[in-house]
Amino acid sequence: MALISLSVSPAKGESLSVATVPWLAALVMLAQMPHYLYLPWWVSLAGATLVVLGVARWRHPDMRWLTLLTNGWSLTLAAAIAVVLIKAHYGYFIGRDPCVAFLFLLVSCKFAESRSIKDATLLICLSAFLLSTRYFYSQSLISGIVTVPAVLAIGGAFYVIRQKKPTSSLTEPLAITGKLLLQGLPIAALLFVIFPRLPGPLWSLPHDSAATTGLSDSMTLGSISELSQSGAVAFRVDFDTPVPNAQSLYWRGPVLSQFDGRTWSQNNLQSLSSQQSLNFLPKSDKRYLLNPDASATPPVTQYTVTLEPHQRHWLFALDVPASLPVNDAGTQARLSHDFQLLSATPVSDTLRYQQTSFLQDRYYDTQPPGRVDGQVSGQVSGPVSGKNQRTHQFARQLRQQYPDDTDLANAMLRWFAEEPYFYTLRPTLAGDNPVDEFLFDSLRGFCEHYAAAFTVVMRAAGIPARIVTGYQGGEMNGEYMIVRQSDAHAWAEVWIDNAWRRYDPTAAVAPSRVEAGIGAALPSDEPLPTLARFDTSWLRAAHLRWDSVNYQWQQWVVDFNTGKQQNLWRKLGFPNPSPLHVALVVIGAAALWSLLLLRGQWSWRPLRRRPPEDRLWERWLRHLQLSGLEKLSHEGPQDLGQRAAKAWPVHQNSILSITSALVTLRYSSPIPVARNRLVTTLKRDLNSLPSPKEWRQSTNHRDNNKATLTLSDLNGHYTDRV
Amino acid sequence: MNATTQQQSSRQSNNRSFKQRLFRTEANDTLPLPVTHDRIYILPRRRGWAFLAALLIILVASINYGLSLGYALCFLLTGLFAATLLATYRNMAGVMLHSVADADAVAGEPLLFDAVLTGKNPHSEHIDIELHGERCYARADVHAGSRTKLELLRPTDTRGVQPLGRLTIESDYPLGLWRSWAYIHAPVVGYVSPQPENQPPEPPAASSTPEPQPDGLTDTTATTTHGEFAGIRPYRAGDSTAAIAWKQLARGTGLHTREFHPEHSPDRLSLSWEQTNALSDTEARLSRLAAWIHMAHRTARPYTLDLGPYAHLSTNASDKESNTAIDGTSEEITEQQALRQLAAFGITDLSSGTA
Amino acid sequence: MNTTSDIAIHPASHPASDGHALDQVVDALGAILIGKEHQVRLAVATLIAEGHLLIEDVPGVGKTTLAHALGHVLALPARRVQFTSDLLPGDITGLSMFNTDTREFDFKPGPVFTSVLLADEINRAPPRAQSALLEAMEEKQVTVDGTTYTLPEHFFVIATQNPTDQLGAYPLPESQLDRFLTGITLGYLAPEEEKALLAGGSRLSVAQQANPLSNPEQISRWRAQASKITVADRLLDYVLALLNETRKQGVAPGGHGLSPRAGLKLIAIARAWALLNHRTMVIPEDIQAVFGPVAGHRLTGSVKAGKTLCQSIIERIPLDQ
Repeated sequence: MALISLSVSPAKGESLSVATVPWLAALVMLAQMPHYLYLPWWVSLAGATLVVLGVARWRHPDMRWLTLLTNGWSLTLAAAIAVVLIKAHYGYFIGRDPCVAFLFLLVSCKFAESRSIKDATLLICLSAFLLSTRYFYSQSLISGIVTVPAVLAIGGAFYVIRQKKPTSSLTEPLAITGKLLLQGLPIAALLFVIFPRLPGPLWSLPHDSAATTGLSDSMTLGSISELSQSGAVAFRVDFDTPVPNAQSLYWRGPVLSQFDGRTWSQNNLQSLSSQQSLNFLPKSDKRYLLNPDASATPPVTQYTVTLEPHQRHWLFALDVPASLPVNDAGTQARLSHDFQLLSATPVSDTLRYQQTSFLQDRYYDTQPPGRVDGQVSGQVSGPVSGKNQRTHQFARQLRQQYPDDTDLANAMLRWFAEEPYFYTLRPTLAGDNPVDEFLFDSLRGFCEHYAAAFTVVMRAAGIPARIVTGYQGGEMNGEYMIVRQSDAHAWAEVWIDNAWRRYDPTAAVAPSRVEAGIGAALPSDEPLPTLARFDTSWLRAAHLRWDSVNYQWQQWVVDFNTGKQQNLWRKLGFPNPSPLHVALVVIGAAALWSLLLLRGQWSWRPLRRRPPEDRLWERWLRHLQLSGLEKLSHEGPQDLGQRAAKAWPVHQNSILSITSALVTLRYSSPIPVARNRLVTTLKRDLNSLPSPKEWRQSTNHRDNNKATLTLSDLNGHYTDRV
Repeated sequence: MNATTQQQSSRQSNNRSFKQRLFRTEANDTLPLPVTHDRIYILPRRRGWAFLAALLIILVASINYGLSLGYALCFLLTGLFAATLLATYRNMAGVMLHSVADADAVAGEPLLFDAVLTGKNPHSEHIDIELHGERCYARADVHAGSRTKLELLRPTDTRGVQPLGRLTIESDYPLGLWRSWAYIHAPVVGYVSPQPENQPPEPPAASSTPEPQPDGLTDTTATTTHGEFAGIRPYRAGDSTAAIAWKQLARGTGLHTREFHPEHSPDRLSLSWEQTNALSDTEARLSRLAAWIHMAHRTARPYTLDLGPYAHLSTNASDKESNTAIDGTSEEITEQQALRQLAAFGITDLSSGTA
Repeated sequence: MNTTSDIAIHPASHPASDGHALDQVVDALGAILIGKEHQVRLAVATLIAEGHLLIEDVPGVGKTTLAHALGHVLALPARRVQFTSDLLPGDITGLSMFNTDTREFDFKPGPVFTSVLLADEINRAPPRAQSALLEAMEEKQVTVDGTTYTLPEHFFVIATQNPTDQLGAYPLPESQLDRFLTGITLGYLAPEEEKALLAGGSRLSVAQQANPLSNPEQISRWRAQASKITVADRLLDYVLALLNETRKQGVAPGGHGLSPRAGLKLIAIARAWALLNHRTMVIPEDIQAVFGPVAGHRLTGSVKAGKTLCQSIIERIPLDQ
């Protein structure tokens, strides 16, 4: 990515022919196209403009200003300006995103400047690298598919810049590149499977983060409803145990305890030192999970989560997590005091982990809320002063009515259910006292409104409460479950009787939650809205099929990691292959591959399909050969047929009819209809022949006859004739 | 000591044959010669190395960021790279250098070596095959069915015999990532004859009965076999003894002289190195001889060429006309031979190909 | 005994009764010339391909019988000229005689004015007499004293030649040999066949008693049919490969390979051969079957010597790999 690559002096070496320009332009555009989505708009625009300028220079070589604009000096200047602008835009330069942006522009500059074959070579290499940087942002199936034309363009570009006398043929470079790619495919696949995957980065550039959709560590009213409109997949789940029913599918995510009257946020993660979190959950110690008084254990469920990268620390698990995530790649994770699963590093890659949960709506804690190991860790009760006064007022009234905490909470749920609250994705915008406005004025809200209002009321009533965000529900697609961003949810947790208990006020409003058109984004507590997600069921089915393909792609290509690799070796019988073994396998396979390709009979011109009669003729010869009858090099088809008929009198009829059909096809020019009919019957005859092995056995006096037939008989035959 | 010398010499010869095998330094390939695996070299071109570097960068980025698709792309391109190796090899293997003809040129004009390429296997095609040697280059597609003629043009400046030297057959088809090449060194030479003198003096005409030469080598056969027998006439004093009709003399009919048709014999030129004594410079003398030979051919006059005692130095060039004089009838082949004699004049060693 | 019809493969048989007539002709001739079916077929094919036949063999193996049998069976007039060392051109072509009554020259046609002409022991006559016949063969007309006389439509010469190793022969030059489409040898018979022959009495008289089975019009039809027989492109490639092989150095003793005209003739007779085998297309076996007779005498000057050469050429050219 250095500026040196832009040659300042006039291009030396062989100059580029005009015929190569379309190929190079196509390559550059194919390599750049995926990046248009991710780059700042001005970078995309500048890149495209440079490409257009480059093409224009080739089309109008007489325009002086174009030539000036695209010479080495001006483009070096352009690259320098790009560095400054990119630095200004991102605020830093040495990082993944700015470097990709710069590479993007560099490719454009190089294209505009290219005049010699050397330039073009560099351009192709840069384009290949640019192509790979797309995967920083997306490794979806689509991304993979989109790469294929670009790879073809790489080969095509190499092909045309090599040519000494350029052809205008479009298919020839493509056909040859395609053929080479297909031939190289076994090697590619082998390397992909066998090449050792190193866990973890070799280095990391600062600021490598990307904005992705997903839950955040804070919540204002309206943030989840926004998220719910995204159909993106949050994670996928494979259940080892039976799939739990929809009511218990609460995927626990960030827990928000801090409230400033408008925004909910987490306890500062930094303050949670390792001692303050549960590094592990001792199996014997069930105090957190089980009601000490109850004897029955809640149902346990085991599953594997494939989490899409979201650049945050938290992992998702069904309420209530009973273990730490187990991960092939060895990612470290811990459980925080408020029962969030947190990974040691942000989830920047798709992460797959196994998880166990107890399906229950509460967990017990020996320590009172707000205190962790005797220290104050965050406010979980009490009103926030100055805001939402009406709510506080309301809470006090409730408290007077219901001295018991449980009664109070239930009364609040009833309130939501009985009052004309309306469940909608488009709530009225909140003002300064959002909870007041929602609770008493608009009565329209999404899950976070209900959860927030519930929590505020509880706190105002003196009961410790907090908001848990995460996902609720999920959709089964064949064997696995998809959880989408649209399943994002927020609910409340209330501290009653030494346990944090889950209260989902949204569920209380649920019966009234129908608003046409936005059903796709509604939580899937109930089956109806889920079904209403797509207009027609076939579209839905297609979508699900597509997701299934994506999931396989994710599992077998994108997530192909050390663990899968080891599994594969184990299955092949080499549990721990040494590098020597791996090298031997690669060398052996490469040798075999070369041998097959070198011995194969193919020519280097674009594929020309051989006429059926030739292919059938070869098949016939092969059949006879395997049966022990070798055609003499000068022997004609009919002589061969006679020899075969003598060797196998049993099959004489079929031999003669096959021979006759082959002779007619190959040595006369039958009209197309007759020809097709002949080909069909010939194929049928050839298919119905007994196997060469059976033929061998049925040979007529094989040992004398073979000799006689090949030598004396034929000699007699010919001398007689000549 | 004897043993060590022997060992040394054998090592030397080993070394030499090794070198010969690798680089074909000596001209001992016989044509037609197919290019087979034992002489094909194949290495990435600069472009190939650049591509490999790009692949390495992609691989490192993929390792660092754990990009599975990055690996996939890298390995897909690696597969392409490897398949191209085989394709380039296959394109090269089986090309056959059928023949390269000895070439003739006048100093200053280019030598044109006609190389004929063909394919070894009946169905093979070899695309963009380049053939180059010292200061000459040609390129063509070679199809097995037909013979492909490549013209190697080599500029010349001075008279002499130029071995064609080692030829390199190479190709980087299909993607230019790999270059495969093979060396072929066949004993092919180009004869660069001297530039004919611009305005040479008239060549000395020889009489019908050439003077006995000082060294006594009277070329009687040359005179008597040429020209058509016209008849006999009585002997006159001064007639050459070679022309005496011995048969008549034996029959006792007296001394007669055989007479030949005059249009052949008087015009016969006898060109020899001695006749250019007036010039001191060897090249100038050869130029004059060349001019005379050209003239003789233009006017269709027969001639003999005698490069005298110096000619024996050029023995290896072609055994037939070695040492002795050449009889020139006006056929093309003879002019070529004569000029080749001039080209090879004074050159001792033609066989090694290192001249 | 072993010809292509050993096990009959008839991919597309000829519907017309002409085909049957052709079979009958071959069968009838075969009955006369016992054990010579292959040669008989070649002779008929040569006739259909509008060529002339050269038979190289010792006397008494049935050359004359073949000529007469052909003439009779095909209902064509047949004549025989014995070539001797004093034969003059006029003895073949005919002479202009001065007619004292009309005081004009009358043309007395020679034996050449017939359909089937047996030119016996052609290499015994001096070259001038030979060339008189050969010119007639080539141009199908005779010019005597400035007047041109056309020969019958189905003019077919069967020339016999003693093996060149026999004394007193004027071997035919190569250019003359080219005029003969095919050259065959009759050869001695297998013992059983010879026995049958001895038992049957004079073959010549059998031949002269043979019933006509065809007529000139039918021969014309056969010729038309033969010309319509398909010759596939890949077959032409094969023929080209054969021709090229004969042109390679050191293959033909005379140094010259087959001419393009010989190639054309090769295809023409291969068509006739295919017609004889009731096929509508020529297959490589047809070419192989007629290649020796067509090329042998052209390449070596002798039918016998050509036989082995042609066989080795055929075996060198890969086919249908």
